[in-house]
This record gives sequence, C-alpha cells and structure tokens, in this order.
Amino acid sequence: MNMNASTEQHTEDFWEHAKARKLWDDIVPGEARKTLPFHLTLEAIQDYCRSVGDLHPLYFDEAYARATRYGGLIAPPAIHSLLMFACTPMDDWVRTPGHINVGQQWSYHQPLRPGDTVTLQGRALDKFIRKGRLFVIHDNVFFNQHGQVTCTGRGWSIRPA
Amino acid sequence: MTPTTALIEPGFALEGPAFTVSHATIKAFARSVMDFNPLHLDDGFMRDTRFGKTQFEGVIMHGQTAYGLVTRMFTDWAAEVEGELRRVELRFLKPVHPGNTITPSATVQLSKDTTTSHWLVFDVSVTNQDGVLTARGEAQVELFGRRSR
Repeated sequence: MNMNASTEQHTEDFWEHAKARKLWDDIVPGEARKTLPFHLTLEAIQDYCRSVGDLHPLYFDEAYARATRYGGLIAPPAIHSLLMFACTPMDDWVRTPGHINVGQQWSYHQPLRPGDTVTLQGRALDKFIRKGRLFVIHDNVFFNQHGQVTCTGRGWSIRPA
Repeated sequence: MTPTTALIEPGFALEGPAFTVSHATIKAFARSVMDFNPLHLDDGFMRDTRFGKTQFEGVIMHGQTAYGLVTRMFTDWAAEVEGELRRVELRFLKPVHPGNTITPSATVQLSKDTTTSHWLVFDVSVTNQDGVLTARGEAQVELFGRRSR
C-alpha cells in the first residue's frame, strides 16, 4: 500500500469515521472541503499504474522518460483517482460507504511527477434530487508544490439516503 | 495504424487492451487509490443494501478503473504521436462485476485547429465481453505542431 508520511491518518476502514461524515443534507455547495497535502511517491504512482495494467516506460523507466519531452518520470493523468482520497481526511464525505461514483470529467494541464507535493482545493458544486436519488457534484483543482494547476475535474455522485 | 505525418481525421479509431476484472484486481485498485468503499469489497454489504430500486448481487468494480483504462488508451497513443491527453469525460452506465472483461475504444468525431495547435475530439466507449456498453463519454487530445493551415 502507498501509505507514506503524509497519509498516516488514512485507514482502510470506511465505517470507522462514518458518523463523522456529512450527510447529503449537511453538504453546502460552494463550501470548501478540508484537504491534506500529499507527497506523491514513485511507489504510489507505480502502484496505481499496475492496478490498471499500465506499465508504460514513462512511469517506470527513468532513462526512457528522461529522453522524452517530459525530461523524467511522470504520473499518468488519472492519478487523481488516488489523489481524491489521499488529499482528503478520513471524515470527508467522499468516503461514505455506499457513495456511488456515476461519472467524472477531468482536464489535464501538466503532469505530476514523483516527489511532488500535491494540494487540493475541493468543494461540492451542486446537490439535487433526481429520480428519487440524492446527487452531489464535486469540483476539484489539484496543484503541485509550485502552485501550478496540474488538473481540474468534476464528479457526479449518488449519496446514500 | 496511426497516421504519423498527416492530420488525423474523423473516423480514426483507437482500442485499448482488454482488462479482466476479479476480486483481486478490485482489491489492488482499492489499495492503490485508497478507495475502500464496501461497494467494491464487501459482497455482504452489497447483497443487503438497496440503492433506490437497484440491488446488486455482489461487489462492483470501481468506475475509476474504467476511467484509468480509457486514459491509458489515450496516453499510450499520444506518446507515439507527440500529443497530450487534455480531457476525459466518462459516465458509468452499467456495473462491472468480477469475471467481466472490459475494453475501451474511441473514435474521432471532430478534428479542429486552434490558434497554436490542433485538437481531436473522440467519442469514447467501454464495453464488456457481451458487447454491453458499461461507460460512455468523450475525450480530447492536443496534437502539437499539426495545424492544417
């Protein structure tokens, strides 16, 4: 597992903090979520890559990557799948058991790299009821340690009633 | 075959590698992204929980796995053609279960010059082994130095 110094407070048990998490009723669109900086290690990047069968040398072969326009190893764009959890505390509502991800859209500006410290500005952008289901749209901007935007994205999720 | 010198036109298609889902691949993905939602790991929770009118017989794959397979399809190709994946939008339409095999694919719907670059807009699909559409969306790739005028 890619637990490292900046994520020691994360555990695998999503029930542990369940009562501390906001219900759909409590979520205020526009209100900033609590977030955590995350030190992105090469191990975390490669763990993610292996989990989707992506062994491209841009993520594994330093000599190969150095000869490309990136000048070194990078993280794949969808590393935000990890960062959404790594950059939020255990009581964040994204971890609510039964929270269903129904769609996401992301724009990619520049790649993250091993050793980067990633920060997140995140919020619920909207919440509504459709076909009897409780929806939340979340809005996210990730930055590297230089304050540069790396990617931005939104997700549609259905919250447990 | 990827055109390497000419502009890529609507109709050009990509297909990513097939990915067979198992409890082990789901657990590996959960660990790699820290997403331990019981939707993906607890068959008992899934059998005992109703999601509106929907009830599942067991765990389902993370939608973000399909998202990762889609981005991989594009980044593999973009690395060959000096391009950059700029945007992906994906809606998850059907659950994917252990034992399913899913395959991403994409077709260019639009090719457009911008002031300094050239962009491709793709329709994106993810289908399972029975040809059922499990996710659908759109992606945009920037190709450097490919302007047509």
